[in-house]
Amino acid sequence: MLKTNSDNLIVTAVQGVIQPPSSRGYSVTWDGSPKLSVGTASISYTIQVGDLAYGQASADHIEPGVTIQGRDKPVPSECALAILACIGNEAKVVSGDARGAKGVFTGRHAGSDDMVWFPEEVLEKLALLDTIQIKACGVGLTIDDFDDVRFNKLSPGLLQNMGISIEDNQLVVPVTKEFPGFLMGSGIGSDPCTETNDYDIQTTCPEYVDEYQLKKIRLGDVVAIRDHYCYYGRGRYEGATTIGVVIHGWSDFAGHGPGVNPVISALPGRIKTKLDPHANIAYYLGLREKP
Amino acid sequence: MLECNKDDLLKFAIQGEIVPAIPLRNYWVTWNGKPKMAIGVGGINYNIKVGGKVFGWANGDRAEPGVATDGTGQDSWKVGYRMYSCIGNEVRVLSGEGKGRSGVVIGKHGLRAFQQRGAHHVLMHFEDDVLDMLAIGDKMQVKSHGVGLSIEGFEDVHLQSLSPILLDKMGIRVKDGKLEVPIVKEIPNYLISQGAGERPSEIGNWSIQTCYPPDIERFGLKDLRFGDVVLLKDVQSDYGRSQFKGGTTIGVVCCGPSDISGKGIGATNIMSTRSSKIVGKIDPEANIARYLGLNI
Repeated sequence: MLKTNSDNLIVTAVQGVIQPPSSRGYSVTWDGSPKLSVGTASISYTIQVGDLAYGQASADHIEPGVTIQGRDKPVPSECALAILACIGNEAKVVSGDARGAKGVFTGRHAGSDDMVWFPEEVLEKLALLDTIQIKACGVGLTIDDFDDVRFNKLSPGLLQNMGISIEDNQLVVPVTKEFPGFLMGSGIGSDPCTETNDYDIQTTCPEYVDEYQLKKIRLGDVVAIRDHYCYYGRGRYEGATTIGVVIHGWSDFAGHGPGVNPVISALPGRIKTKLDPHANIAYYLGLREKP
Repeated sequence: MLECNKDDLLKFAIQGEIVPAIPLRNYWVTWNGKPKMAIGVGGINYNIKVGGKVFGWANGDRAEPGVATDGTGQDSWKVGYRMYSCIGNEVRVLSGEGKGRSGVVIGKHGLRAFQQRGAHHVLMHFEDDVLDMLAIGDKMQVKSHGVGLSIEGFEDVHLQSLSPILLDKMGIRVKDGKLEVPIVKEIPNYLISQGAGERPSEIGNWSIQTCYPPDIERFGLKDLRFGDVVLLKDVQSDYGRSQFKGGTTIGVVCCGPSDISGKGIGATNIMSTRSSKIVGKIDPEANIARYLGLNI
């Protein structure tokens, strides 16, 4: 059991509504082909956290489960939901046919979308524009004696379930894969608010796709990014380590790919990793059975 | 002498205006958690010039040389202005004290092509006497010339935001079936960051990260000047920007360094390939101020 400051964390309500999907017609892929992409916003009946982030027909940036957006400010990324909701927080439907049903917050896609998991029977009852409320808790989370390590968008419950141990004054974090920092694309360098942004593992270059087995990434995977420091923002720092959760799927657009919410980050010497093929929030949060 | 299709290019008018400086009231937060009153983006920068140093400006963060402009009128017209302006294009001042005077496009700096938030700047150089006549809001007309530019035999090399007049003066030659481009520096891909995922490639820039301080010495980034031609290794900018093993992008330095995580020295991409058809040749004088004969 990690010693954290969870007793001192504020628990507060934030809200969003299920966002209808939109389309701008065809967009141009990295190799110059038109693509009509699907997969962002809406209620996804077939793709959930734990599924592969690659391979769905016409999909781009696919968002698992239910996608919601804050409405308390004109720009979704400035809403309380975007800033305060943490992965693992409890969600509750507060309007419509599924009123009262419970789910779990699973990540935030920088452009505009926050994602929530609900059981299949609840998905059938949900409608676009239904309101979802989250008990937001996690901003300010720390582990005792690791004040220099940044914890972001993590509920205290998820942090405890990630199989993290402490060795030689370093956190040892199970991850499915490790990626070099240079693979990180869209979202890098955008505003320094770590809470509201993800950034993408670029799936543009076929050689890198093979070399780093990018087709095997799963939604919800916990991954490591080498030489990146995401305490304030997302950027290069040699020897630093960032741990992230994969929150959306693949892309055929240049510089895009599976999105990662940075959840733990530190300067060199504070984070070690160990490979575990089942390091995925779907198992940690009890959303599916570990094989 | 390169053979290009310059005689087939359309030349047409686009219009913009000088935009205000955009400091942030609540401070930016640097990579190591310090508040910073970052300045230098937008407006008229009287003492930051193409050909001048990029490092060392007090409180500068992504500081831009010369005059920053953006499109005017409807949102779609603004996108047209950002998209069609090319480095080396001729500028005419349409309003204010400087009416009738001329300048030149020297870079493009910005993100999120289709959004109206943030910066999407077409940067311009004017002689000092003209600079003193200019005011924020003054209208500018650019003769766009360069969209569709290509080099004979190198149709798979994408040219963007590049006027034929600049292409002609860059000292590029064909060697062993490749384009050999004079460059001040080659930048390794792991320094190259923001700009990835941004499309179309005709708008905005790449960033060379300066948030890991040892890189600045190690790669001699301190020596860079606005307008320097640089080679970005293993990144491509054909249809949007990304990392790409074996790809190459040629950029023009358009803004100064940054203390914000993942941001840094800006380079407006002007040439790109996913093949190995572009190689660099180090030349410390490879700067657009010299190529365009600017008086600096």
